[in-house]
Amino acid sequence: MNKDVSEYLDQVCTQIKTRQTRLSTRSELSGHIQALIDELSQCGCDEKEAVKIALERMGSPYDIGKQIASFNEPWQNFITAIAGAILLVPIFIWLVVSRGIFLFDPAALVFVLLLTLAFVLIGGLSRLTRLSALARGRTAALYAGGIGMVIGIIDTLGNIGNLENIGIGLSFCITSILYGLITSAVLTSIAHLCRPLDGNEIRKILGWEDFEL
Amino acid sequence: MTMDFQMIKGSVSLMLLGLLSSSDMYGYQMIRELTERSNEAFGFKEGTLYPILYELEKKQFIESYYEHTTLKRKRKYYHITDKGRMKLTEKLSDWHGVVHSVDSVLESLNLEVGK
Repeated sequence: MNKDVSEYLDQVCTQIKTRQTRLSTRSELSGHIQALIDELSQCGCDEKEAVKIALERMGSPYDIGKQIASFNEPWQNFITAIAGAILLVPIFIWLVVSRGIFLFDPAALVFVLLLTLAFVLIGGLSRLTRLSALARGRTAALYAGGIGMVIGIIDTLGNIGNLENIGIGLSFCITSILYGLITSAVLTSIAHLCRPLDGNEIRKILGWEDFEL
Repeated sequence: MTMDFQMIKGSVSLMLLGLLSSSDMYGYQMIRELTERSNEAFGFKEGTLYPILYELEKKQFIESYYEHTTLKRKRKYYHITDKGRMKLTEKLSDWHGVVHSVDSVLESLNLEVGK
């Protein structure tokens, strides 16, 4: 697929949180854009020109994604935040207060970051656009955290007879899922920041809504 | 001619339901039909159609299904539901009411274009 088109689809999809909606929206919009490009090519446009006009006719990817997300998953953020807080906060407090386990574990941090990077690069560097790399990293970080947690649990269970050595595995388990969540949140924020602004948004920011640019 | 998008926004879902009441269609096809039937009056961005479609689907006025066009490509068709047909009838009479009222007001004022 053309790089501009996939960048456009990435921009729509970064707004949408559920995987199912993201996939179906992506496939439907890509079909529409392809049909537009085919139609323009038949009228004698060269490919580059056709892509440009097609994307122009589709409208702002940010607005489209935002609108789809707004009524399709209004509770998504809220539910994720509440579920995360209910599950994780008591565990962390309990660990820090009663067990004295600290939330910094360099081994877990390096593990999560490297595994996230590896997941992002699987599938080839050349096919990644800036936004799709960030979007993939967002999911990959969560997986990396999950895998770290499983390794930590296995290590803990392996040392269950020897309570003095249990701390390393337990801390790896807890901190890697924490780092996975943090990395994922950071990548999501960067993805939201680095989308290019279109004319309308720039006007809104500058307070020039009544002026034509 | 390009109309003000805000002016037609509310009526887009009415037109989409109307289009789907005659036959099942996919997104691109709906845009082409709208463009053709309106003599290209609606200059709205084509991508904005999809949020409206998904919202109608969420409200169960329409439903969708996939059909393969080639081995690899599939196309998403939309179909109007019974609930959607009822909504269409309701919206249609609302629309005629609004048009009639606006017309009555404007006619009573004896406005002339260009003045």
